[in-house]
Amino acid sequence: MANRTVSDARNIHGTNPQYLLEKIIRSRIYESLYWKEDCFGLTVVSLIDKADQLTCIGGQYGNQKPTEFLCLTLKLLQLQPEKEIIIDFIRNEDSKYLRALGAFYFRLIGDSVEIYKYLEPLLYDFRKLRRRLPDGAYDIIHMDEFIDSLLRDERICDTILPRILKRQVLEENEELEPRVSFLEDELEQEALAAKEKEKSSTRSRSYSSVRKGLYRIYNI
Amino acid sequence: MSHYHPPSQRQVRYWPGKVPENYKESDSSSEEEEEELILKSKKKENIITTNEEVLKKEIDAQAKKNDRRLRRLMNQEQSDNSSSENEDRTARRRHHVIPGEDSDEEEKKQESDDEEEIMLRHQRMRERALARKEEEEEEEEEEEENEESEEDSSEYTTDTDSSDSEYGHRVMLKPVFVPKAQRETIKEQERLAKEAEEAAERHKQLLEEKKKESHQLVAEEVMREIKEEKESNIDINMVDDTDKPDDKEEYELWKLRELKRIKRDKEEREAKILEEEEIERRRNMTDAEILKEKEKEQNKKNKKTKYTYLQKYYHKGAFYQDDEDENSIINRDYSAPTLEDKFDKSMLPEIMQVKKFGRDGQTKWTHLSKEDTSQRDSLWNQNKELINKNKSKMGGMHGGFDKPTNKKRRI
Repeated sequence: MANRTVSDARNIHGTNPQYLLEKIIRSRIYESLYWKEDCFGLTVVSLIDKADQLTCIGGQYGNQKPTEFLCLTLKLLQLQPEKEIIIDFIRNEDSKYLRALGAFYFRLIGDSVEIYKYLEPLLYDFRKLRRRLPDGAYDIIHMDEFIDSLLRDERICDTILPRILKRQVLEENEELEPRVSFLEDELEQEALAAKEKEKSSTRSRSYSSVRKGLYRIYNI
Repeated sequence: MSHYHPPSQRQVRYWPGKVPENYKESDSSSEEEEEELILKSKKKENIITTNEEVLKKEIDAQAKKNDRRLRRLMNQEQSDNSSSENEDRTARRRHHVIPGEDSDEEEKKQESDDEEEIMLRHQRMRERALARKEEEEEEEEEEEENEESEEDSSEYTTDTDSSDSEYGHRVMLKPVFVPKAQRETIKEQERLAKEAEEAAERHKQLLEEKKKESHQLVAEEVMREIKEEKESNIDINMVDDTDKPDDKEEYELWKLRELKRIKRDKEEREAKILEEEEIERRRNMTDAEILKEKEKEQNKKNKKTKYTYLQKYYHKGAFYQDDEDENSIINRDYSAPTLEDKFDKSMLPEIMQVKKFGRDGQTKWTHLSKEDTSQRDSLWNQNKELINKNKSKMGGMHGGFDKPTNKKRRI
């Protein structure tokens, strides 16, 4: 059958990789026109073109139809390409939807440390992604928001994400270095400069420290 | 042959074309007559030969016109003229057509016939046959000659000629033989068939062309619709997700988000530290101290707010109460007065101090505590007589229930 996982696929999280998508979503994908028309006989290479043509991310929309994004995710789960390929997907800068697809897939199959390692750099990517809402409408979500929700939320794109260890736990176990955003360095410098300014000016202190910092950055 | 045969007579089978055994020529069976017959036959031969000579001459003269049939006709006329021969012919016809036209007398004579007579007859017959054969041969020769000379004219044409000469008055058109290949009607038919075929083919082609055309039209229409749908989808529903390079506004928005995230992470880290500290503190406390702290927390939780006079009560609901966010809608004070409850209703005239005043569902009760009769100082409890009277009417209030053992004791 065309919907079977490749024969030499490894088990992921102790199960068939395709089972990472829920049964009902899976069967809806198998029945969807996009799956039948466009996903039949796809290879990892031809899948890149399809991912490049994606217009939105999202789970189910309208009459509980799965988005093309979900279909391609299932295809990836079925094909189980090597991790390096997925990392290349994530690292590519030309196609943002390919990157989003790779990140989503990697979140499904990767282990905690790897996920933090490869997905956190994407928090600096602030490109816009079109997201399909359950009612069929679209809205804009930014890549960094998407990645952040991948790292923190339980359910994205109508898919239950496998549990990952919290960052704090990994930091305590010394498996991960604490994350330092390059903005923080900038912020510290700004804060130093702000302190000097504050002495001379009498600005209201109602802003939170972060907001104050931002405000200052764009006033300079 | 006669229909009735006497039983004594010998039965002889009749063969068509063969002279019956017991046949006798007419009534005369004498030798004289036979000799006469022979003479006649000789004469006839002579006549025939003369006729043929004449004919040959004629054929030479008018080779084209002449024909076998015409000749035969002429022959007949000539032979008719000669009466002797006519008799002979009729006699011979009688021989062939009705060979057994014999009477009873003849049959009687036949019995006395001897073999000689039979022999003679046979001889005569042979002679006649020979003569006929010769005649036929001559005729065939003539035919061959005629055929050589007249190839164009056909049998039919001569036939009509002869009929013309016979009847004279009627003029008939000469039927002309046209070979099959040159016949107009066949050509016409073929032409018509061909035309019909061509027309059918043209019609078929036209239909096919039309089919193709309509197919193309439909395809074009569908393509246009798909295109329009795509365009309309893009126009109406799709949000623009193009990224400009070096978009400062987007960068600023991202910065804000990133800072929020940093703040969130920081707060989380701090909360974790605080929690650890709290755990450490609790571990160092005695049980009594822990109990005391718990009580304090309980009191804090159970604090009730005072309702204003005639304030409406809203139930806050039972589900989803574990949102710890202070700004959450669930953690708001639901007992606070809203709308008309904010006014002091004790200032109103007493008659208006009821629930739903002036509405259809107005009641005469203000609130439960006012109608509460269980209090000792309530109006109801002031009049003892009224209470007792009421009590006596109630079931189960007429004296106490006595045990039978108690009665016995009294006695």
